[in-house]
Amino acid sequence: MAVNNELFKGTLQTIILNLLSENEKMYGYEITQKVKSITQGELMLKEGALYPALHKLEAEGLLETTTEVVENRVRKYYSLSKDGEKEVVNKLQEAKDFISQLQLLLNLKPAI
Amino acid sequence: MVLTAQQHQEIKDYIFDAAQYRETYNEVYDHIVNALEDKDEAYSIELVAEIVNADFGSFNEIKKQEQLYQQQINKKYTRLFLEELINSFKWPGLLGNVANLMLCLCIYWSSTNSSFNTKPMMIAVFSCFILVTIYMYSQILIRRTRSKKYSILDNSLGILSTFGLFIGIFVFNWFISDDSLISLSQRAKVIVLLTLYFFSSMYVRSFRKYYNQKIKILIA
Repeated sequence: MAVNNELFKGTLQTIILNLLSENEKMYGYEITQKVKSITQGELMLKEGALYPALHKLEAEGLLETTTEVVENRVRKYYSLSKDGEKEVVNKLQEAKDFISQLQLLLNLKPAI
Repeated sequence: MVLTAQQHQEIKDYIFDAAQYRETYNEVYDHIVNALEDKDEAYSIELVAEIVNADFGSFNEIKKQEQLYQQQINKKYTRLFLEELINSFKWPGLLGNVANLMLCLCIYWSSTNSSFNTKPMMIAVFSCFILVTIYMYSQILIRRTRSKKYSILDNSLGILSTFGLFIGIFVFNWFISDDSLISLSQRAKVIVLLTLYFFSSMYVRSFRKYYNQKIKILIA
């Protein structure tokens, strides 16, 4: 069963920051494919949401960008800035706290 | 699928109007080519349109995202420039500001004993502002001739490079000119003019540092 995308909109920035903390640098399409493969297609990260989120994080100084010419086209890579490296820890903690509160509220048992 | 050079060109032409700036254009183009290369179907321009609609919504959506991105970029680079202005009060930029302040004080004390001709200083101040604006716009135009699209940073640079000139014109019309909106004594006009001179010096040094250290490398 596919997960409702509305449910993970609020955690999109955390997902991006976490992926970039695990990978040195990534480009937009690569991020969408990574999310798809990790969640085995259950979560489909729409580009209409991904790119604005990436641009916002870049403007806030949490991401740095570099460009490389790959197969005759310009590719924009995103990586964590120093501030981004600090922020990813806070964002992950926030997400963990939120999930544990959600489990209490909705009377859900963590999957074993 | 593997795309031919002709198909690459067809995609470029198709999405050319989708984005105003080259950063967005390059990102959308790279995304579409990656998506096509992952597909097993035969290439068609309809498939490209399908990818645009499925992944981005439409050309209008891309433009909306781009506008939002531009606002964020403008905000970011204005903040960086203001930081650079503030940094001119820190070592070693402080040296230049102290030297200018001393010069302003010397000019002010000498003007109290004799009449002060404001025109040479006005010309110097406006030359600084105008040179920054002309230099920046010529750089933007040179880059534009090399690329088919403007960079998203050109917009911020255009605004920031005219900021000093705008301040100069504002101060001149409100306080310094003979028919200024606010009437000031000659001594007060000298103080305003020296303040404007101090600002112009700080502005030019900060802009030069900001452009060379933070922008040039990104926009090249």
